[in-house]
Parts: sequence; C-alpha cells; structure tokens
Amino acid sequence: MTPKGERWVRLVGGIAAALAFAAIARGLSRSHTVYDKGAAEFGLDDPIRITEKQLNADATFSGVESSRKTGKMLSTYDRSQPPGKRACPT
Amino acid sequence: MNAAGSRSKRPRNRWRPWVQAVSLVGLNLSAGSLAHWQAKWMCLPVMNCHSCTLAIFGCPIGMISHYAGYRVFPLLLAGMLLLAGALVGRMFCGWVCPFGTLQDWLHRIPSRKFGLPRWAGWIKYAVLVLMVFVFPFLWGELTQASFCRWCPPTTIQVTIPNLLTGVTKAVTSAMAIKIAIALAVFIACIWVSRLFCRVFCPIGALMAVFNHISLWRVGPLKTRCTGCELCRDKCPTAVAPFDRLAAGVPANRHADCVVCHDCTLGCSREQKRARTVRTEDQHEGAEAATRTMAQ
Repeated sequence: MTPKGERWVRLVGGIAAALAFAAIARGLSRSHTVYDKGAAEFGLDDPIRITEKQLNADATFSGVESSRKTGKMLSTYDRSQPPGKRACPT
Repeated sequence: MNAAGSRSKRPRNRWRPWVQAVSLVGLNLSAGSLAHWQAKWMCLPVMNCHSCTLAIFGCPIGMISHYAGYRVFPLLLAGMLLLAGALVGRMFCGWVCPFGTLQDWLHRIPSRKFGLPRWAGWIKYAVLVLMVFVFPFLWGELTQASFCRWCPPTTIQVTIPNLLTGVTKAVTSAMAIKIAIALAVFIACIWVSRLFCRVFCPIGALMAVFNHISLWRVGPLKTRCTGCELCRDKCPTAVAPFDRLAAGVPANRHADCVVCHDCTLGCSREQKRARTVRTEDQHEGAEAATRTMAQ
C-alpha cells in the first residue's frame, strides 16, 4: 500500500469510527420486548421492555433465551430481584 | 514455513508483558470488596469468559452467539467492536487479551518451535461463521455446537474452577472433551507461537478486517530498511512484517497481525538510530552545560 493508499485507509478508518459511535448511540437508546418464561409456559403473554444494555448483560448468562417455536425472547429470571452474579449455562 | 517467536538475544518490547499482566488481573478483578465492579453489558475484543465470577466485562463471542440465537442484530455490541477495530485494529489481541498472554507465556517454555502452514489461518474464519453465527442462529444459543461449549478460556476460567470447588459435581463426557481440547491447545502453544489466535480464535477472525482500516499504525520505519529480517523472528504471529516495512507500509496491515510492535521495536536499524539520537542529545546537553558554566 502506498502512502496515498494510506490516506484512503485513514478516511475509511475515520468513517468506521464515526459509524461505531452512531451504532453505540442507537444501541443505547434501543429497547426489546421479552416475555416471562414462566408465564409463557402457561400460554400467557407477559411482555417486558428491556434496554439493549440489559439484553447484552442477559446474554452473558442466558438471562434471555430464544424460543424456537414462537420466535420470542423469553426472560428466564425474576427481574424484580437484585441481579447478583450469574454464570452462563453454556 | 517460519518458526515464529524463535529466541533472539536482541531486546524485546519491554512494555508489552507488563501491560498484558496488568490486563490479565485488571479484567478479572470482580471479587471481594470489588465484587460490584461488573459491566457485563460492555465488551472488549478479547478472550475472557464472562461466566468467570471474577470477570468484569462480557465476552463478545458469547454475546454474539446469544444474539444469533435471538435473531436480533447486536447494535450496541457491533458499535463497541467497530470502535475498537477502527481505532486500533487487533491491538487488544497483542496487548490486552488474557488468553493471548497465557499463550505468550507458554511459548517461552524452552522447546523446539514450529511454524504453521498458511491454510491453517483460514480455520478461524470457518469457526467464526459456523460456531458463532450459523449454528446458534439455526439451533438456538444453547446449542452444543456453539463455540462457548468448546472454548479453551472457558475451560480454565469456569469449567476447571467449578470442578475444583465442587460447584460441578460430576465430569460429563462433553466436559472431559472440553478439558482435553484446552490441554491440547496449551501443549501446542508451547511449540507454536499464538496457535489459538492464529488458527481458532473467532475474535481474531472478527477483528482481522479492521487491521486493514485501523487508524493505528505500526511503523513505517524512520530509517531505511536493510532487509535483515530480524523483525520476522520477532513477530509472534509470523506475518512477515519485513515485506511491508521494507515497502514503507505500516506493518499492521495484515489480518493476522496482533499489533504488538515487536517488529519495529526489535528492528536493529531503529535501535541504532534511537541510540544515536540519544547520544547526540547527551552531547548537546553536555555542551550546553559547559557553555552555561563558562558564562
């Protein structure tokens, strides 16, 4: 890569960094609907809105699971309790 | 084939081992009075299992596998990885990753060293696509085919400690295979520098593209390259930085470079230049002092 090519690299890198900030900002403001797993087992819909930040944390210990049958995301724990430390079953 | 990381009497990159050691401890400090130090919603592009009770941040691979299972695009996670990649490329692999540090330590054990064939580097992309994206997407995030189920860092941070402390009561066959894989990787890392990073690491595969666009640059050299190829021996991932440095291109413009700076810091010409500049500075300093005293 020539020094001229490096200039393009810097431009692309700068655009990527700007896109990253935009993605972070959008991600922080986004929320998702999850359903209580216990209620879902009895055929009840108990939707809960959680932020993407919470969904990220839930993804680290399977606090939210996906249902292959319904395609919904199911919350696996009681969100009214303090979180504490949890390990991922995988 | 190049036996990367061969021993050399030349000075090493002095800062990197210290940064690696501090990172290893710093990323796993969530214990005792610091137990509340957890930001699992954040992640760094490093192999550090978030299931470890000491871990502060989340692991991007574990998170992506889960998001693939949820069939939701992880915007926040993608933003964090894109930011790290755009700024420094794979520098986290070389300076921060605890598993990379462990591999560097293992490779220092005196033994015969081997290189890797070029095609081996492509395996990690298949691992990333299949075990992190495709299988969890098709069969759910808890599938046995997900990368987390076989991940060697998870084995040393979670599986083995849980067995030793009695949290896990019995050894299942899957667990035994997982431990065997981790042991095989550790032993192989003694012979091959950064074997896991170069062949299996899905984070490395994910971040590889960013080395080509990152704002961080390794080199180019301030002195003219003499073609001594000392940098080739210094490189832990054997990505031949010599070719790029000689052409005046930053050495980190390669998918497998871990941006450790060992090539430029180990360069004989650069060291000679640094010594010359230091000596000239000392001369000027001494002359200035003499002039001041004379006045």
